Amino acid sequence: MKSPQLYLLGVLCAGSLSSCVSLETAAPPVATIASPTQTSYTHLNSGREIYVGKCTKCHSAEIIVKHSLDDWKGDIMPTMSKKAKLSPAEEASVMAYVNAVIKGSGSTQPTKI
Amino acid sequence: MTKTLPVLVTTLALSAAAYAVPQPLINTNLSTTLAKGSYEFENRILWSHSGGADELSFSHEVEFGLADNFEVDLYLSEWNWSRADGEGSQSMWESAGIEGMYSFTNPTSDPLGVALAVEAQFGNDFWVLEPQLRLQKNFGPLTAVFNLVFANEFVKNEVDGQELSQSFGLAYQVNSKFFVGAEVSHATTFANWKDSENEWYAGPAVHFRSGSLWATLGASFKLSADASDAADLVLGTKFGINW
Repeated sequence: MKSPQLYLLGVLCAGSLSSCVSLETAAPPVATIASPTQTSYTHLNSGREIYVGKCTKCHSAEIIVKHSLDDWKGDIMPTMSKKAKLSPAEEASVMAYVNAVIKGSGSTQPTKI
Repeated sequence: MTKTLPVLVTTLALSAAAYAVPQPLINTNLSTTLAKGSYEFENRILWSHSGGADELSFSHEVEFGLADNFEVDLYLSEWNWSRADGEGSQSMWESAGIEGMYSFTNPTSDPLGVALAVEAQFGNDFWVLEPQLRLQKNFGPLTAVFNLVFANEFVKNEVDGQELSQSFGLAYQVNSKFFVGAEVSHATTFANWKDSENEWYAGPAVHFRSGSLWATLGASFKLSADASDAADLVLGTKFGINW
């Protein structure tokens, strides 16, 4: 850590690790919000895979419950699905997953994490 | 018309619905590929000063997301401009090339993001084959990435020199538009596996994006180098537009 560049690297690493939110918090696994026997289980799982696989190519996984369902439906999903070039079926899967996460949290209003 | 065109281009660029895969570092590339159907025009400029000489190197490329995990990049032109005390200046075209990159795993959901890339560059009297390994892990807004590159230069189909380079970088997404980062890079050049020379550089980088436009600025400070003419400081910028 003698050089200022390596010191900067160390500070950046330590500082940013302390502010991380786990992927499970940002995008809860489907098993925590739905029963595997539900017919929608596969559809929801597909939505989560797209959410953590395609959306995170460009930005970190957004905490789903930080935004209201209205925001997701009216603003976030229409904009982001264009940016990630999602097909209508993929967009529907992600929206179903987001819907399930927010309703599973017991509130359709933003939750502070 | 002369004023309308730049305004029109800027407006279209800013309003285009696209987010690029971020390129928050100058010397270290991420393992993620462009979304299928996306494409990007990217430019890179590096400035270095060493022993009374300045050099600017330029690269212009177009990248295509051909599949969800596969990207092809066309290097339209790599060229440089140099100036030395008492010798004037000159510019020289170097090469054009192509690169294919396949991303095997996802750096967010899988334990490690792994991608392989192969680049081929063709100059007037040489060509370069460059396999690359890119490893990446995303920890929320923090991205850690490692590149290993093995460049082989051929002249008349015989190996003329090799370079093994590695770089490690960290980038932190401050908000949706702004990243800060730092990277360390090391390169060893060989002449037929003999007479190797080593260089170490490290420095910070910042990345900004808005709409479909983005830019990265970085500085690399020499930590150590065997060659006496290695630049003490290299300043770099990358900027692009995506669709």
